[in-house]
Amino acid sequence: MTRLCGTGVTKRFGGLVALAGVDFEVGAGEIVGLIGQNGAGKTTLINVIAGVYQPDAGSITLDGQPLTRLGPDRITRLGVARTFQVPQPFPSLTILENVMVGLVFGREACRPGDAAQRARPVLDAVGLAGKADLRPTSLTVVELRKLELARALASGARVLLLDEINAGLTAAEMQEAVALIRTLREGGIGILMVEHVMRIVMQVCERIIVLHFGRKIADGTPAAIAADPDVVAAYLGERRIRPGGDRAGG
Amino acid sequence: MTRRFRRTLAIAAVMFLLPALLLAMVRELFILQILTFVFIFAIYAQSWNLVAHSGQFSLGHASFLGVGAYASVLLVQHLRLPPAAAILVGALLPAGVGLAIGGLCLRLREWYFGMVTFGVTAIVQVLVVEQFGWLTNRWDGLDAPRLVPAGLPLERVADLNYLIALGLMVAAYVAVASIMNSKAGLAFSAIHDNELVAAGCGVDVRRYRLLAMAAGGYLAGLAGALNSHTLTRHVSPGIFGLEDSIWPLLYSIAGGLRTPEGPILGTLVVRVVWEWALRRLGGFESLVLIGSLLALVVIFVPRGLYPLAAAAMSRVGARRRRPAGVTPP
Repeated sequence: MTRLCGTGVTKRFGGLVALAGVDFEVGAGEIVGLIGQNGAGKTTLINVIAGVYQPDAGSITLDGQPLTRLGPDRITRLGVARTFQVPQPFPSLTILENVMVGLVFGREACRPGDAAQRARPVLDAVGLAGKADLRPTSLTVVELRKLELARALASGARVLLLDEINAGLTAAEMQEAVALIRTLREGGIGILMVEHVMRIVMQVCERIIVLHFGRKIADGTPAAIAADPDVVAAYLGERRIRPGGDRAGG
Repeated sequence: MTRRFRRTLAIAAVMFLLPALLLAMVRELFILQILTFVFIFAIYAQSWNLVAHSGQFSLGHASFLGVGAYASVLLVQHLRLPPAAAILVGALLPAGVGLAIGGLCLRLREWYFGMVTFGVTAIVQVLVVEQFGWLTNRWDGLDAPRLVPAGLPLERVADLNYLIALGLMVAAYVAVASIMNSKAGLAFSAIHDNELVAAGCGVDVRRYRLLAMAAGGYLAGLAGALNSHTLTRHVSPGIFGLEDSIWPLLYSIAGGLRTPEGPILGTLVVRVVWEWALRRLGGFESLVLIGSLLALVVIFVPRGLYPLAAAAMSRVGARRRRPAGVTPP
């Protein structure tokens, strides 16, 4: 079942075409990778889906319902949640309250009185249970990313947009994150993840979309992507990559 | 009833009972007047602080103060409303002004928001004096009838003004503390910290920013009306001055930004020091003193006096609860 579907999504900034007619799909319980060089339009696409930017052309739907022209808060309430490339916690709120914001104002529209209670299992799920009453300033980078994920999950997302959730993490921490992402999928959430670490992309994604200067140049399984001559020329470079293998590239 | 609300009510009770007791003991009229002023301007600071809590840095709060005062006086004069009702009804107009300014500034933040609110205050003053001059008696202003029924002896009037201002200040405190602890308060904090991320979490940023401006406009207007009907007994365009837009900011920062108790404590401390200095030291020296006091607070207690006092009290409480002979870790 297709959860998120985009057709011909185009975004221009002045003369620069950041996205040129990009089509994409994310199914329920599917993990889709979004890769490409710096400036390829990955984060722009995330921002357009999330409603931060309005597309100049094309349309995006969530479970058949159009998202185009809606503001970011409406889109979140309909069930699309995101994390940011640089973690963006609310510094004046506690960890628990950060998650409560997602619960109360997201798709769940949880009653404020119940939110504290319901935020705890979410913190448990990402391994921040012991930090509930601290402020984000006392968290490490990994923990901030976990908080980012917890807040997005708390909003009751049907589609999760992850913008480089693994940036700055050690190999062990990445494995932890990957395990977490995989458990999310079990619940039927569709995941679109921007990722630079090719080993992770090849390992967790069922399908990969490759952007190059705002155009989609490939869309397929990790194996197909790794073998695609266009992708190799544009992004991966000459080194060979085995799907699911442990040699890093890119 | 939640634990936070019980705490709010307990503080509110202390906040009302201590000054009420003081009234029974202190008979100097000028002290009662200073404290009445503190209660009224604590409501005003409370309003500024609530708006600041939603990430909106107002430098034009005097427009609410002034519009509230004019609205109330005009309601009494033209619609024969009793002043006690007029101050509550009249404050709806500055709430509307808050919505209008808030709508105008929806895309602005921080200094830019401050700039526009500052500019709008100048425009509001001109409108009141020129466009509505026929109604507002231009620069001469209007006399404000007493809040309490005529014919009471002066001392009773002062007592009643004191109690009414105190009661409204405590009511405003309970209202603002409840808002801050509610869903809206969570939205305000999120917006304050990061508007884009707040929207990304599903917070309707426009709606909550406007809500803060409307509530802030109402409270500030109430303070302006109360001030005119009790202390100044007059309202003139001078009320739109820059100084009156700056004071609530100083009170709130001194007492503790973004806490419902801070503006009250800040108004009390700053105002009492100011009044004492004016009587003992003269105008120039008072300014130096108050300036130094504020600088010291910002440097050494940047979070304000209330968080400092609250932390000290909880330390004392913890020491008392700890069994004897056990040393703290």
